[in-house]
Amino acid sequence: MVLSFFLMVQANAQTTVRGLVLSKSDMNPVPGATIIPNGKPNQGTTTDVHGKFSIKVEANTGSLTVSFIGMDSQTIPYGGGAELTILLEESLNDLDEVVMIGYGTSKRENLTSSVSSVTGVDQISSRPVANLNDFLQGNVPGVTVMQQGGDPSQEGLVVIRGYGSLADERPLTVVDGVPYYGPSINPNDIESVSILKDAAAAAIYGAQAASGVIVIKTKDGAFGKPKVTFDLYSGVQRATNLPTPLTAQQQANVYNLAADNAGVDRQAAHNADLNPWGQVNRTNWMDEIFRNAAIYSANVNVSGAGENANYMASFGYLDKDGLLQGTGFTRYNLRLKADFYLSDKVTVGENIYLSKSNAVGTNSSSSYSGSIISALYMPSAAPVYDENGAFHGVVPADLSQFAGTYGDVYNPMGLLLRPTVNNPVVNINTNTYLNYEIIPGLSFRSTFSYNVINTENKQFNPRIPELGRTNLQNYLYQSHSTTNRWIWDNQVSYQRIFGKHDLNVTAVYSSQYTKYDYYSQEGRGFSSEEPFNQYMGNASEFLTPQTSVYEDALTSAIGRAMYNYDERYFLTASVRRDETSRLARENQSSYFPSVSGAWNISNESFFQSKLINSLKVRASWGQIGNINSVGYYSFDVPLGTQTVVLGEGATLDYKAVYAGQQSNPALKWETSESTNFGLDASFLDDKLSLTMDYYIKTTKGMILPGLEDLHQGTSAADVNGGEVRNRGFEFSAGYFNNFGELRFGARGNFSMLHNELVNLDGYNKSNVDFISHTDNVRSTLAPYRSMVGQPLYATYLVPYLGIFQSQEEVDSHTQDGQLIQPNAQPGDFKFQDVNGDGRISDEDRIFMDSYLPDFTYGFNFTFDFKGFDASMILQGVSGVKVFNGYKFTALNASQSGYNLDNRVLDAWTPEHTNTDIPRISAKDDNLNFGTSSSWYLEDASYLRMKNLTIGYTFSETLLQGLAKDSSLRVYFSTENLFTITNYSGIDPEVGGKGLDVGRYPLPQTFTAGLSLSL
Amino acid sequence: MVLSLGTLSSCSDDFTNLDPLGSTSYENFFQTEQDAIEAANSLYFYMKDEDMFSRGFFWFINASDDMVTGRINSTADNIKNFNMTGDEGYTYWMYPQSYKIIRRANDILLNVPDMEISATLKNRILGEAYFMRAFHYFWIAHTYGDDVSGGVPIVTEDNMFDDAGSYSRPSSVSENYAQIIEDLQKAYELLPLFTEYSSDDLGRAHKDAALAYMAKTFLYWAEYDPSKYADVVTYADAVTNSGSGRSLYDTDQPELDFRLLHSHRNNWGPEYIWSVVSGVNDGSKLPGVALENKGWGKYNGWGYYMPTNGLYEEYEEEDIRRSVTLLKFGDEFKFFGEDRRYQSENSLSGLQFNKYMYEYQFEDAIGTYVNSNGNNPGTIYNVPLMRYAEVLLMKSEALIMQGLNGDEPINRVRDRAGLPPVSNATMDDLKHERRVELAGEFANRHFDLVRWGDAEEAYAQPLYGRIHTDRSNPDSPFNVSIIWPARDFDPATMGVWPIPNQVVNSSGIAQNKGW
Repeated sequence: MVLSFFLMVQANAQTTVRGLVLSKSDMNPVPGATIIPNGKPNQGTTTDVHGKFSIKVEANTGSLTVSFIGMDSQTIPYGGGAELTILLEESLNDLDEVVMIGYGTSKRENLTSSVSSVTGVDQISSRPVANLNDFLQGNVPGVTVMQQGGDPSQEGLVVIRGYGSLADERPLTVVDGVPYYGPSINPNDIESVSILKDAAAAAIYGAQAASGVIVIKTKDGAFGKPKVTFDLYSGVQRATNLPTPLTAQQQANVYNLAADNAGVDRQAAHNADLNPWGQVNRTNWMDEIFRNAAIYSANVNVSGAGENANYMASFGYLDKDGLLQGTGFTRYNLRLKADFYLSDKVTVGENIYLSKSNAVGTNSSSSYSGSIISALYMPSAAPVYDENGAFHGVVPADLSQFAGTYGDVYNPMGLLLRPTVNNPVVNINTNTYLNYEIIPGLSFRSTFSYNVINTENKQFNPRIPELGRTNLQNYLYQSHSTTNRWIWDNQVSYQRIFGKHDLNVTAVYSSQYTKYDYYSQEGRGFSSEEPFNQYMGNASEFLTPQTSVYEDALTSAIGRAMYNYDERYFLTASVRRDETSRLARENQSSYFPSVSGAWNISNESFFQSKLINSLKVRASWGQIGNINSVGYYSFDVPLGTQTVVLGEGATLDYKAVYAGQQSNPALKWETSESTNFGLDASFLDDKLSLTMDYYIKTTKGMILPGLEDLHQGTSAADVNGGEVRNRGFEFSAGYFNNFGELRFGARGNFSMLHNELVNLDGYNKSNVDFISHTDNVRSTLAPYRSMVGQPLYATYLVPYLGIFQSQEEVDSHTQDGQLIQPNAQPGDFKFQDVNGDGRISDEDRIFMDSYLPDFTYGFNFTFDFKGFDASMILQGVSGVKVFNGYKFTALNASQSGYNLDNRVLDAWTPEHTNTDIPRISAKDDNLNFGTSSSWYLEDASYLRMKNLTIGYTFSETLLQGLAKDSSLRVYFSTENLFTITNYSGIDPEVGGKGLDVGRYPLPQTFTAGLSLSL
Repeated sequence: MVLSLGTLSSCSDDFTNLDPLGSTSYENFFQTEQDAIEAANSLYFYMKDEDMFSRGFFWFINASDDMVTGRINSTADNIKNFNMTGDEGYTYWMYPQSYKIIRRANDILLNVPDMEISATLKNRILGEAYFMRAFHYFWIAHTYGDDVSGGVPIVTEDNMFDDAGSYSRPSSVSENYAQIIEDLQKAYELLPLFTEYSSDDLGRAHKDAALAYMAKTFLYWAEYDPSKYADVVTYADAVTNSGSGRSLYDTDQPELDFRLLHSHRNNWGPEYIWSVVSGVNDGSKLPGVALENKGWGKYNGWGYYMPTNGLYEEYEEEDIRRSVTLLKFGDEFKFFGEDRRYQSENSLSGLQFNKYMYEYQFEDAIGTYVNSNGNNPGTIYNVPLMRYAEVLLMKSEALIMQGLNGDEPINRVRDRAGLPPVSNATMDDLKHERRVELAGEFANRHFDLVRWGDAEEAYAQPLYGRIHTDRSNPDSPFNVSIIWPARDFDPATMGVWPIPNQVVNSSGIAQNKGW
């Protein structure tokens, strides 16, 4: 985005001085830099889009002061008529930086709302992150990245200032001024990122910005000769902290003990005489499914700028194998970007991004058939392959009589490697714009963006003949979806300085339209499973195709005025009107205002401090409408369709139509209202800077499905049904200093968050003040409930009090003389009878903590010394609770005969009492495992060494022969080097709402790379 | 300089007015005959659901003395032991899914009467809605309702749009039974006989099904109001005399008759009244669920519901139904074309239900007689929910309970089995006959014991199995030993099951007392 800033120039000058202002770091021209001659601001001018200026001055010699936001000011002498070239250096401290605020930029110093800049973006190319979200972790206060495990088809979800609703909340991403909904862009293309956190800041993006906005600017061409940059890295990822399954013999022993303890017959399969095969250890399944996975990344970037144009082209390739066999992610992407300066007044440009990615993930969230949990369940006696190279079952075919004992288990290698999976996503995003400077200070900009996303999903599943979970049906599942979206923004901006008054007014009219079209088909019964035959036409029977389609339209009219007086008093106000197709006609539009102000105390004449260089206080209030939690047709929900079996032939092809969800034509906009108080300050010659914010963000009229009274027989309509409040405090500080040739930087941030469901007004008319969530472990443990006064998705569990160590303890756990747990024996769990009714039931549950962290923090240290550089990121969370549902099957011998985690060997016995694992039994009469209790709830606070990078940049002289101004940096980088946590599962970042059944863990990654610039 | 927002927002009105795409909306539905038929089709969706008439209600039938869970599964064991939290996924779905069908029926009963479609079709569809509503109420009413904690909320087309949380339980399940009878009466009047359906429409509700469920509803109602026994007789006779020729499948070859009765060959035979329509792609999974765990390496049987020795012993020695109903060690049978003699390392009782195994005998069974998907291991046998033999036994029971002679109907059932008649049949005779004739079926032995008041005594006895010395050897000797300890059954509260917590939490209705 190119915006020119013009000042009024007085006309009584005598000499003309010409010059060019460039940024020293990348030799880009600096448009809009202020040139003040001889300390007389009223004679100043600014540079044009090419960084050039020409100024008439009164004296033949003198000085010019050149300044630009984000750069250190310079004062240089002039005289003699020579053309000047001024190189501005980026300033070290954060306060002068330029911040993208949406439809414009601002100096950090002038911000009135809560906007954070992402730091260290220049290092993104040397970190093995597939997307920006992963890079953000620990970087910005108030921005929590909820990693969804290490599955290559998943990426971290960004949560800004807590959950405001029960819907899937994602911040809006804006790339180069236009909202972007496609798959994650190539991180290498990113030049800078800022995050709009409060409503006043995000208001300009309105309806989709209630969860915050991530504003990305991609790289531009630099003035001068073409520049080519190569970035390459490769490395290896590995899994850590994997569980150990029981050996074959241990499995037999544990199940024999379980049978004895339950008073039932031992199973034949676990009898060493009858089934000697089952006593021999053959496979460690965890070692089989996990691998050292390779990662490769290559990027080429060509850019440059001349008199009339600026261009950048980048090509990127990423190939990231998953830790689990058969999984992985590949991406090719291309960006073509150019700006053309047609005249002093007219600039046009385009920005095209093409990507093709293919992610193959695996299910790790099912406690029945997840890949990792299946590797635990599979008996260690079974080899991976049989003598013919086919996947082996739980037992060999000639011992089929023992198969039942080992439970319904898939060969995990078969799960991962047998299906043929192809999920290509092709994304084409184009932005074109016209910028017209009508008169100095008044400009018009029109931007049109078109995005097409084609998603295919093809999965051929061969038969599963081996014993375990035999399935003699092969099938091909194939789906295709197309999303077409256009966005058209028209913007008029006016900026003018009248003496000490600085006014900037922007009006925007934006419209966007989306159409989504999905089709899927399943065919069964393929006579051959060879690759040549894995196509739909070869199926012998077809299921009824499924389709899904929607249209979505949104228009917004926005006005914003920013005013400051003498850079001391700042005021910004905006109002917008949003109109959506997702609500009934009479409720489609609504108005949302915001206002914010700041006082830069350090610019006051009375402010004299050696210690404090700058000091500013901010306050903001704003409302944003949030449309993301509304279904596309909540006001008139289309009927559902199914197929039923009828007729003499009992065919599954009778079409059935029914009302699946009720409609609510009265549904209105959900409003996210936030209030923010902030303080920015810098000390010690700007070496130390800090920012603090306190906020209250309230979601009013929260849209959620109303109380689903199961007697109504349909899903309830969406309603405006409650209020959620997030309150928090954020702090970040940076310290930068040079000690001789050592440049040192340290940044730290932390944030505290308190999330609360304030009310459920409108959720129902029957005074039900909670929402029961159905997230569960094997349809037995349902740990979550959102209740008024509690955080969203709080755990709601029966308190676990320990293990009964003796019959006396069982007998003394009574209420009114009656045993509270009559089925208990020593070694069983003791639960608290919270309601005092003499038994343990659902009514004994109490609220406990949730997965949303109370406290998140990050530290980042950088060192530069001569050619060496080093950086380190530490990141952590606390006050996080994970419901470790893995234990429900992994430590439980009463489920299905599965193999177990070897921690079950630590189970309670009369001789071994210092443990919290209950006695081993083939029954669960006391519901040790079958109770949704706090035994499963674990503290998943952690501190991670997120990244450590060491690099060396070769001296320029070495590369002089190659090309002018070339540079070469080599580096070594590691992600997740260590994690400190008390969590007993594989990885504390389990994702989702914090329910772990053996989730795909994050990898530990080691990469080496180089960055060559010519 | 500042442009007004009003000017900018003027041209947008039509742009955001988008009509829903993808399928019909509720307002535009119920216009054509096809709409009405597709709405009626939706009534049958959950018939084939795993959690309804495959396992689902069968987890409660598993509480009876006829069977044990069969394999290690503490969740299922705890249900059988009346040791439940109300969160069990196995027994969650029957209640809410029944109300989903009730809702669909209500939508039809609300909208179809005003449609301009042929009267025959309209009557049929309204009849289907009345029947399916009553059928689902029947199941949840007796499963969850009694006269202690009350019935289950009655939602009809009159109150279907009431607010969430406003539904309440009637004081007694008798109110449910009264409403069910009302619906079934209307269904009977509106529906055709099943013999009037074309082959494509087989499996839809029909007159005999309405009449037979009236008889069964009255039978259950009679637990609270003995005057209803007379109605049982009336409606049982109405089935017999409906004109569709309902009768026992009886060709005077007892063993063959009883075998073929429990096979796809009698899916639509004379004894058919109501069953789960099942094909190779979908249907009731019960046959596979109750099949030997891993099916001797041939098929993914799930290994649940293994019969007890008590059931085996209940049969009279000359009763041919025993060998069709049960397999014991050494019994010969055909399995995927292979001659086998029964043995099992897996069955905890040493026995196996044979009733549902007919279709597994064929060599080319996969994809022809049985579903090839091991996660959906059904067959093309329409698992019966109500068959004519039960109608006869209900009549006999109702006669005996009224102090009348019930010999005629019970003896017809015995005669088909090749057994001599009984005279002056007592309730003991009737209970015996019901147990052996309907063993392992959705006729519901557990609820029989409950309504007869026999459950406490029956469940105070442990359950026995046949523990063979060498389970791999069909000829090995066995000991009859306890495979399930005696259970404490409190007849005051355990006659009904806990309503799923999710239902209680979402609606505010009271949980059943004692749970």
